[in-house]
Amino acid sequence: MNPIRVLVADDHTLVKSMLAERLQREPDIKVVATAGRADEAFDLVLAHSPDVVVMDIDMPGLICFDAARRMLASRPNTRILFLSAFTHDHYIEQALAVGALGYITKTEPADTIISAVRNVANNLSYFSDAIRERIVQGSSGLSLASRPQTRASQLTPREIEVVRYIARGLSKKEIAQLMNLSIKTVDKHTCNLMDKLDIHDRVELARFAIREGLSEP
Amino acid sequence: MAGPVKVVIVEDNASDVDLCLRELRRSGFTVNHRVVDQEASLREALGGTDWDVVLSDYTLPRFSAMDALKVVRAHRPEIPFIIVTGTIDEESAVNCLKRGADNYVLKSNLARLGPAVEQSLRMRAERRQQRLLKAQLREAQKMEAVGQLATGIAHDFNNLLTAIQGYLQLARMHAPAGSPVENALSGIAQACQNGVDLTRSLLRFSRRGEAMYAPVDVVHLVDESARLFRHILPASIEIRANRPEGRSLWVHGDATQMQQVLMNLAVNARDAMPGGGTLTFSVAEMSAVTPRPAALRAREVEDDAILLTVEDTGHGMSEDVRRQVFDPFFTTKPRGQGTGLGLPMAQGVILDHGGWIDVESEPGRGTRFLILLPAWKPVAEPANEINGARATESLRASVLLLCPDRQHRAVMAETLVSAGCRVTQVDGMQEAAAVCGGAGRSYDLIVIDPGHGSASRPSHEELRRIGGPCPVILLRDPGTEGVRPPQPNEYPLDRPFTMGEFVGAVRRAIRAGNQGDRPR
Repeated sequence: MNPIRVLVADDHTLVKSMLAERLQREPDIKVVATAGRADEAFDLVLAHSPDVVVMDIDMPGLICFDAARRMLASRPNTRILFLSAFTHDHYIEQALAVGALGYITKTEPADTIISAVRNVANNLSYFSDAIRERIVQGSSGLSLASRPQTRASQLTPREIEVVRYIARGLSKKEIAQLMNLSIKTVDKHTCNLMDKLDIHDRVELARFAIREGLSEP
Repeated sequence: MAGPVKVVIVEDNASDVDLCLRELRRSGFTVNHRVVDQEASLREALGGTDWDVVLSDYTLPRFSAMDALKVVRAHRPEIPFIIVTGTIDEESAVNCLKRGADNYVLKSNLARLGPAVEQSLRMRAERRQQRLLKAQLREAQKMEAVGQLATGIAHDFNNLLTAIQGYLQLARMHAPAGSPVENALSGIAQACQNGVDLTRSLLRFSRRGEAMYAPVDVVHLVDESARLFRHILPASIEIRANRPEGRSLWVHGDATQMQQVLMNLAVNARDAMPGGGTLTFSVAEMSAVTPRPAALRAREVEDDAILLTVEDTGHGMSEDVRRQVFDPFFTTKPRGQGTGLGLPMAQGVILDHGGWIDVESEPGRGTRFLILLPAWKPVAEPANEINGARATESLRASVLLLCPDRQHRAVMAETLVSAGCRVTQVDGMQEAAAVCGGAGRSYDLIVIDPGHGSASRPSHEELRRIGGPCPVILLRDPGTEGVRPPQPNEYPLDRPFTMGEFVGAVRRAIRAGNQGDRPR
C-alpha cells in the first residue's frame, strides 16, 4: 500500500519539526513537505498534491481557512486536518465551512494526531466526540449546533476573514491582495461588518476580534 | 446639604475669621476649622486632615491668595478654593478664577459664603467621582491588556509544550522500560502536563467576551481554581478545597466569569492575610450543609441548591466595612491598590447566575463569603450525553453509506464508526452497485444522501437492488419537490440534523430492521 503523503504547516518551527519527525516514523506515513506560512503551504500543495495537509490555524500570511479553501479548489483529493491551540466554535465552524475533514487541538498527544491523519486519509473525519455530536448537517453544509449567539455570529465567513486580517493590522490593499479580491469588495465587506457590529474604528475592531477569539493577540 | 465641614481659613484678622465661621454656622454647617496666615503653616495643615474647603483672604502681610492657591493646587488639587475678600476688583477676581480658584465672596456680602461653600462641596464630589472613573477606566484597560498579553504568552507557551511532549514521546521509544532514563522522562512528561493544565487555566481565565452559559461542574471549577491560585498566591497561604469526593455538582453558568469571582475573592483573602493563613474553598449541596450558616437561616433555600464558600483566616472586617463591601468603589486598600470593583463585579456575576452572595466577618476572626447557586440537573450525566454514541451499547452493524459530498460522508462515517459500525463509503449509485453487485454482500443498514435537491434520488427498486431487504435511512431536504412517501423499511431523516440525532436515527432503523417493524 502506498504511504499516506502528508504536508505539515505550522509557524512554530519546533512544533513543525517535531510533528514531521514523529509522523515520519510511522511506516504508513511519509511527510512530503513542511511549511511555516499558509501561502507557502498552498504552493507546496500545488507542487506535491499531498493526501493530507496538517495545518495550524494561526499562521502569518494568508489566513489558513482561505488557504484551505484554495487548496481544495485546486486539489480536491487533498484532505485538510486543522491543528490548533484553541477550540473556539468560530474556528471549528470555519474549518467545517471550508471543507476540512478534521480539527484537533495541540494539547492532544502525538498519537492522536497520527490517528487523525490515518482517519482523514481513509475518508473518515476526525473531531473530538464533544464537537462531532454538535455538527449539524444542513441543506447548505455543515455547521455547529447551539453555538452561543455573539455579535460575531452575525458576520458571514468572508466578513470574519476580513476582520481577522484587519485585526492583524493589514491595510485594505494588502487584504485585497491576500484574498484575491478588489479593494472595492474589501471595502464593501468592511463597511457591512462595521455596520453589523456598530464599530467604526479599526483599533476598536481589532480589540473586538481579540475579545471574540477571532484573532489571537 | 449643609452638615459637618472641615475648613482651612487663610486669614490674619481674627474678627474676619469669626465672621466667616458665624456665616457658615448660620447656613447650617457644623464647622471644624484651622486658621493659617503663612505658607509653612498652610502646607502643614494640608498634610494632615482631609479638608473640605479652603477659604482665603486676598491680601495678607506675609502671604497672598495667589500664593495660597498655588500651594493648595500643588498639594491637594481637588480641594475647593474660595477667595473671601473686602478689596477685590472684577479683574483680579477673574484672574483668580483663571488660575484655579473655585469662587470668590466679598466680605461686604458674606451671606453668599454658605451657598458658595455648598456649591464647592458638590463640585468636589463630582471631581472625585470623575477621578475614580478615570482610574477605573485605566484599570480596566490595563486588565484587558494583561489578559491579551497572557493569552499571547499562553499560546506560544502551549506550542513549546506541544513540541516538548512530542519529542518526549520520540525519546521514550528509545528508553528501555523501567530504566532510570524512562523514569526521568516520565517526570518530564508529568511536569509538561502540569504546564499544559496551567496554560489552559490561564487561557480560560483571560478570555474576554460575553457570558457563555453552559453546564459547569462547580466541584471541578473549585479544584481547577485552587490549582491556579496556588501559582498566584504567596506560599505562606495554604489553600484547601473541601468538596464531595467523586461527585459533580452542576450549575448552568459561565465558567470564566465564575472563576473570576473566585479570583476576586481569593485576592481579597490574600490581602486580608499579609502574614499568611489558610484559604478554604468549600462546595456542597445545601442538603449536606449542617449547621446552616447564620446568613442563610432566614432564607428559603432549595435543598439541591449549591453552596460555595470562600473562607480566610485573615484580619476580618468591622460591621461598618462589611455592610459596604459590595458598594462600587468602596475599598479599604491603600491608594492605587484596590479599585473597589472586585466584589461588586462578583456580586453582579452571581446575581446574573440567579444566585445570591453574602459575607460573614468579624474583626480578627477571618472572613467567609457565601455564594448560593441554583442547581442544574442534567437529563443524563453530561459526560455521557456528550459521548452519547460511545456511552451506549456498541452497534456492531455493517452500514453502506452513500453520499456524494466527501466531507459530509466523512463526518457521518466517523460518527458511525464511533458508534461501533463497520462502514463502506460510496459516492453514488453507480459505485454502490459496483460494491454490492453480485458479491452477495449484505448490509444491516444503508444510509443514502442523494445530494441536495431530489434529482438524483434513487427509486425504491434501485435501493432494493443494492441493499436487499435491509432498512434504509434516506436523508432529505424538507420542502424539496418530489418527496415521495417512504416505502416499507425506509426511514426518512430530514435536514438539518446533528450527528447525535443521526446516531439516534441509525439505532432506531437497525432495531426496527431486526424486529421486522414497518416504519410509521
